[in-house]
Amino acid sequence: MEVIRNLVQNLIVIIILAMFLEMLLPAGEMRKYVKMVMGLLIIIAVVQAVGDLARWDYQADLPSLAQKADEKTAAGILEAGKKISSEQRQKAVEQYREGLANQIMALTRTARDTTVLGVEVNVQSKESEPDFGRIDKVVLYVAREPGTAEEKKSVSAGEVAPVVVRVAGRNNPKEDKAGGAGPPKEITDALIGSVASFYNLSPEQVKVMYR
Amino acid sequence: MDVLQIVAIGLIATVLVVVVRSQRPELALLLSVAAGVIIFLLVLGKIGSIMDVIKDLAARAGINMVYLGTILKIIGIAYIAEFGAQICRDAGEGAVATKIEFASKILIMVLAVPIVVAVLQALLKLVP
Repeated sequence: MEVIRNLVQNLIVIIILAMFLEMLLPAGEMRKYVKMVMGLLIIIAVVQAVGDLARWDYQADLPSLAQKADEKTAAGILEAGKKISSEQRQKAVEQYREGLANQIMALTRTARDTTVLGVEVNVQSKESEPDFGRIDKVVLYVAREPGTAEEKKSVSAGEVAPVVVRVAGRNNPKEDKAGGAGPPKEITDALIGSVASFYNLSPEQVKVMYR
Repeated sequence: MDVLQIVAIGLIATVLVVVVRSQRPELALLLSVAAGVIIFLLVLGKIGSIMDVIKDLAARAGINMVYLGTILKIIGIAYIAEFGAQICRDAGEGAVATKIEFASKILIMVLAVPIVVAVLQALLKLVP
């Protein structure tokens, strides 16, 4: 019953299409030629519709050249569609990353004792991964001394720290870290904790770096 | 009101052609061609929507787009040949008009060959 319903539907659409195409035909000498070819098209359409009912492979009768070209075009269109979709996803991830960074910046402004100068958010950007779009890591760039980010930006390089000349082989990289201790550990831990709990991350995923 | 614009362009072109034809018949021909081109450009944007409807109907009917493309090309050839032949007839060159029509008939038949072959194969397949 369903098959007959589909056949009748197809025939109705074919008749409407034929009517529509006939309205497009030119009026003069060429009309009868175009009408003949159009009649052939209608015959094909009806035979195809009946072929669907009888389940025979009418597609094999199509001109091979045209069919191949059609397939190529379809494959190309699909490929282009996938590429565009992937690009759009990457752009969306990029915007999401930037939005998250701004959000975290705004969140950390509430902490009075530290100044967050910048935020870097790493998001899973591989589409094949099941956790696509999830936050991988958050890096907070914290000022060594408290103050607002604007203040930090406006500070001019007035005072220069004493220059230390090291002899080759004796420089100890640990001294660098000791030089700028940054805010106390409790404050950074609280910062990490607030960001981690807000975004449901583990504290290991949130890093603090001093600038 | 697009139709008013088109009719106005047609009427103005007709009056100008009638006036100019007695003095400069070659300019009158160019005028009529220009009027035809302007009217065609005015309706060009609307043809796209008609094509969309036709393609949608063809997709619903399960007609291969190769055939539909062929039919649309044939209609285009017929229109262009008709316009060209009419312009030639207006210029008093009936012989050239006939040749244009002949060439367009050949082109239409060439484009129709795959459809004819497909119909033939389909009908032969129906015979046990």
